[in-house]
Amino acid sequence: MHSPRAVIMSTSISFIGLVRRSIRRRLFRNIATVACFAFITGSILTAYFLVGGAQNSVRAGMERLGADILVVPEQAVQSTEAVILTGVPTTFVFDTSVAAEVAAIPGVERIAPQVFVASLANAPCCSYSLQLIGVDPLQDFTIRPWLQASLQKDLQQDEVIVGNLILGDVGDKLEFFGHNFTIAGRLEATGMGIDTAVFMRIQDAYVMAAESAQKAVVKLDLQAGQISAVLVKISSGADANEVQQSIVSQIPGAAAIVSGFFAASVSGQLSATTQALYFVAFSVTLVAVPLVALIAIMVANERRKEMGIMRALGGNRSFIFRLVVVESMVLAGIGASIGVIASASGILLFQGVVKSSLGIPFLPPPIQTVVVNSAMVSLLAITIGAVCSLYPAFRVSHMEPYQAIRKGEI
Amino acid sequence: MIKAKQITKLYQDGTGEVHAVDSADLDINEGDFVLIVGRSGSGKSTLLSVLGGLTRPSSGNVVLDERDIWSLSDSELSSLRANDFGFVFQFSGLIQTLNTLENVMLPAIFSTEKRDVRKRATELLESLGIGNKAGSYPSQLSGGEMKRVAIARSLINDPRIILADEPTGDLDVDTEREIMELLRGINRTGKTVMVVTHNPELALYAGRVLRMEKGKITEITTRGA
Repeated sequence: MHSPRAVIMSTSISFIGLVRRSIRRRLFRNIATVACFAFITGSILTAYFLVGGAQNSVRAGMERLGADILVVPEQAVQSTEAVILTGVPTTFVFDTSVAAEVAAIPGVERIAPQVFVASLANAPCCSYSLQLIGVDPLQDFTIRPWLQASLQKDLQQDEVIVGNLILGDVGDKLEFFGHNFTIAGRLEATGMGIDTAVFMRIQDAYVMAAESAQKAVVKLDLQAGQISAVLVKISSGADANEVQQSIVSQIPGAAAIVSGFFAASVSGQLSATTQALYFVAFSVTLVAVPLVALIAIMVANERRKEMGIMRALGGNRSFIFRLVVVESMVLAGIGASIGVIASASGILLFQGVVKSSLGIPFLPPPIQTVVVNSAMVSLLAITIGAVCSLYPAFRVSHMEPYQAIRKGEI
Repeated sequence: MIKAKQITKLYQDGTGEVHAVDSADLDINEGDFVLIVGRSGSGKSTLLSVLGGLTRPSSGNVVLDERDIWSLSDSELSSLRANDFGFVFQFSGLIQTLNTLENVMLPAIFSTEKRDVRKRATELLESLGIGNKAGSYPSQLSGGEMKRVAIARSLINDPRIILADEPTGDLDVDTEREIMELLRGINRTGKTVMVVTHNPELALYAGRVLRMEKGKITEITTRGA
């Protein structure tokens, strides 16, 4: 009988080498399997990217606003949502006394009145209308903390902070309603309406409105003291919903929007799309799993002779079993990688189209989250690949070599 | 070296049980060149497969070096096939996704004894006159070339026993003679060679000829090799 000698030298073909060669030389046959896994992974990830991107955007936007509740005129709820989420410019006002009334509600810690004004579509700075937002430097807690942290100063007279998508560098001039402003800083991207907003001091907004009759082609209908919204930060321990109820019941004509409303609104807008995508992903998986299993069985049958020969040459059952399963897992991995790349690049390249066609804010999720979720979906695909190959792998590995070779020749 | 005792292999077909091999006894010594001759369906390939550990007999046993190979575990039997046997199959049995050199190197994955496989495979291909085909795939080779690759592959792990099932099937007379000369040359290096063929004219290469009919060994002829 053979006695093993301990002479270990290099072999030039390995288990992985066999898998690689088999996949490479049967590329056409493997396309169906790869395509199935690419589609499964791509549709699941696209749904995730849409929901994740929208939620990330809302989160970033709400963090920037820094408010727990937004108080606006009753009739302006929809346009407020449009301003905040997608940046559709609007102008609405209610009386400044509302600010004091809101401040008096139990549970309210701080308030920050703001003025929302839509700029003219033909403003010298821009070819489209922008949302101008006047903030009170003394009370503001949305832009001021950022200003002090980033620029170590408060907003000065006729200075503006621009959203991430507004063109122009710091120091450049912008003209709205005939009034000149200077860009003092630029906010980070949020994917929400804030990206196309211009923040100025509320006093400057009033001056701009007063001057508009002489300087602008259209007079801005905004009186000193009028405000559009009151941003509310609630006290620690207070319940946002209770404070909201108090505001609505105690201040006639006012609507109070809690920050979660925007996330819920976005989820609502997306639900049909994401449900459709998840349905597609589920359907594809439902169809693809038996299809992939069937392909794996067919391939194993087709390769009986090859597996029989490997058994005859000394491959044991475990080797053949592993070979079939690993090949299937590698194919699933290739499909998953294609799905991940297609989904991620598609969403990133066409995020503008996605945003406008679905009417949602969108900010790509953080890279770590993308990587983790891509890895999880890829792992799912690879697991499906492995599970689908178990039965054919077991069958082909348990055939007698002689039978496998003979049946493979038929 | 190899003792086969009362080997029987039954198959089920539409009409019932078929005795592919029927109570075959065989005693093969180290260095023998044995030819198993018979018509198609006489059970010669099945007998070779039973001796080589490729198909389990319905009854009887095969003893190699005092061990019944059919009492071994799958891993032990696989290891035996990798290290002690070299197979040449009827239709060459080359893996289509591997080139000539890789096909020759393949059995080394399963061997417990590792050597410089690439060098040895290249030398074997050179010695069999197909060194220039190392990068070719099976579909690019002629029938004779495929047989030579299969022979080179059977030798890569330096086994003691070469089992060849119809190694000259579908080959022209000249190539048939070349292949048989190669096998005789291998036998002269001390290896045991067993060849299955339907061509009785190849008997002149063998030291012993076993004739099979309907699963039974009907005649054993011994001659000087």
